[in-house]
Amino acid sequence: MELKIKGISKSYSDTLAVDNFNTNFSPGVYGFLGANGAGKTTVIKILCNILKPTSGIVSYNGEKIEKLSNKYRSQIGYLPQDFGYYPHFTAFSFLLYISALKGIDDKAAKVKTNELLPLVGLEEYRNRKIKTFSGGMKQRLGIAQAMLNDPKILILDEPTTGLDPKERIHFRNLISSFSKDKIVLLSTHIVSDIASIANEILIMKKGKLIVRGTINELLTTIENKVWQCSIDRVTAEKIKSDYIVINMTLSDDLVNLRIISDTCPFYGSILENANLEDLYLYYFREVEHIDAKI
Amino acid sequence: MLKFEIKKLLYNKILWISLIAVLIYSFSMFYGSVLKKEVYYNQNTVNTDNPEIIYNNRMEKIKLEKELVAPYIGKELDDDLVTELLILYYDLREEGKECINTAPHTMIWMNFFPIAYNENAEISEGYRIITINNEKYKVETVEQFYKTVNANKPIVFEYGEGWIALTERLGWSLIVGLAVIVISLAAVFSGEHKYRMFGQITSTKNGKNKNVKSKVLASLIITSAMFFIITAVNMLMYLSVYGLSGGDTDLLLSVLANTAFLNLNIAGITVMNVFISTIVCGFIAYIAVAMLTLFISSLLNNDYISVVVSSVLYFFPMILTKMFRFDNSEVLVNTLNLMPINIFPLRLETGNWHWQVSDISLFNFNLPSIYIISFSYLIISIISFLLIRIHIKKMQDI
Ligand SMILES: Nc1ncnc2c1ncn2[C@@H]1O[C@H](COP(=O)(O)OP(=O)(O)OP(=O)(O)O)[C@@H](O)[C@H]1O
Ligand SMILES: [Mg+2]
Repeated sequence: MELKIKGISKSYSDTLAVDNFNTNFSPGVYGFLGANGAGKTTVIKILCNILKPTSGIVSYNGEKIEKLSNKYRSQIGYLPQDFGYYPHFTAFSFLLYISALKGIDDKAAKVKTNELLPLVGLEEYRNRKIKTFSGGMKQRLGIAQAMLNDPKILILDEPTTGLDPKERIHFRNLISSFSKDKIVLLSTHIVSDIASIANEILIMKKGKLIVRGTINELLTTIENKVWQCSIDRVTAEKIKSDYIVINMTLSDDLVNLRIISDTCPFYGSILENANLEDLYLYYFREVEHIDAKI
Repeated sequence: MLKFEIKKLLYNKILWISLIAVLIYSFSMFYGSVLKKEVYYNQNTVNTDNPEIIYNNRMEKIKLEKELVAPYIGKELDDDLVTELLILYYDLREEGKECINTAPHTMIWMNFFPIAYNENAEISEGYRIITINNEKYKVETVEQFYKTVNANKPIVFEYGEGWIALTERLGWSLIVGLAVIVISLAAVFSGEHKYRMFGQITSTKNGKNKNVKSKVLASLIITSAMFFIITAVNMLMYLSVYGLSGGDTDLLLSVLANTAFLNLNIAGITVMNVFISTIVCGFIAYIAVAMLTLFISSLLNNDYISVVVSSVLYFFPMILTKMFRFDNSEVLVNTLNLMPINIFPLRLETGNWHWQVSDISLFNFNLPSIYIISFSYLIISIISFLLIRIHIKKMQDI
């Protein structure tokens, strides 16, 4: 099973949302990172066959997805970034409706719905109208609807927004147990949500895929570059713009900085273990940092 | 999936509100024309201390009318019957009861208008002289009447007021009912954008094909239900008061005859024929309006705009037609008359108090019959369906 993206570009009247995006997915969990407006949602819509790229091809097992049409669409589960719903439907009937759209017969749909509702913690609210749901509950309903057809390709656009910490853990477990032999693509801004479950990370910036790799591979790129130091405020103010500062906390008169730098930025700085958050900021700050110098 | 699409339509409060509004409208017309209290006094005693009441309300009037015409029902229209009915009319007037002036009666009066006869005047061909209350009148012969209207079988006298009232009022109720269709179907496709469901739906297996069919089918089921509810309620109201009989009243003996029909040749047809044509053509027009509304809905992604566009499209031609109703030769008017909304009255108000077999032409071609027009609406419906399918397939989520 292979989902291949070849030279995808998408331009809107005044913006190039996606710029020559190339990659391919085999079964596994993929974390899709990128700042606001980076183009993640656009790529996802193209992958879901609801948006035509300006150029480029998406193919599934060697065939173009437009050609596969509903054969392809029956393989995907999609949670849009702004999940839509009918306010007057109950959770249960909404899931049955989506099942019907996905071509699941009545009986199987009921079985699957009954199975999914407890998994997303909505069992006791099954007969309540969606308009009475909290943001997180709606989001969980959205996750459930994406999984109704046991999709081979599960594409979730910012699935964890609005979920409380307990539900985030639930979500991670749900994805981990679901992901066997499947392609799962999760876009998010919250690095910790994918750190433990994603096999690979893709980072997108200004419409381009700038890096892709396993977490360890990516972390090695900033190994021995994350520093911790404590300095006085005046100096901190001065060097702030010269380095990629990931974190800054105050203690008494001193400022504690977490900095990414190739060399020791300061006498007395201590090397730290790099994590995904450092990585994310490294990619997003670095380019801007260079831009600023140019 | 069909049942969910129906459920989505039925959840729309506006559908119910507007349906109730249409039924209230139907009822108020029924009330005004049938139930309303309306005391009528004998005109000869109206100024005395103890005026005789002839009827207290319209229902009683209908009962009196039916009793009055009962002896003539089933009789072939001939010179004797015409004379009898005209004498009856003058007698009623003498007795101060001219209010019981039934429509078939009126048509006899209109077609066989008695002209005061002067001994010296010559009797033109096709006319005869009758004596009513010692006065002489000149009246057209039935033979001449048949000749003029091209009737090839004898007309039988009937009381078809119930069917006539029903046909007239039902037409108007159905026009108002179109608003229900437009309002509730305008959001079928465009509403999905409001609920942000468009992407979710079209990313599913059945989202681009079967779902479109289900939506269309659900809409047609609701449209049919609306049509039959409005029709059934009107039939129930009018026929319960007037009774079922009288359907085979010849159109030439009905007040409907003083208008020109949309190329429905009125010679030899009955009020029941007109009623059935209204039902059949009206139903087809409903389907056509539903399909066009759905098509507009699929083009727009705002349900309010799609309500407005659809409403303008259907109701504007009617307003225009009414504005220009006195000149049927206008190409514009005839074109507008082809719009679905104008099918319900089934006829054009000519402003001409003489019956007419209409012969309306457009660019010098005679317009096709109402049935051909209806048939073309069916074709339009099918084309709309195909266009919706193509459009939804192409549409992207942006
Ligand atoms: N319908 C549209 N018309 C015009 N421009 C658009 C449209 N949709 C997206 N864009 C532009 O395309 C770019 C990418 O948007 P996209 O929604 O894909 O970003 P994203 O990575 O999903 O961002 P976020 O993290 O905020 O969801 C943005 O600059 C956005 O302004
Ligand atoms: Mg997005």
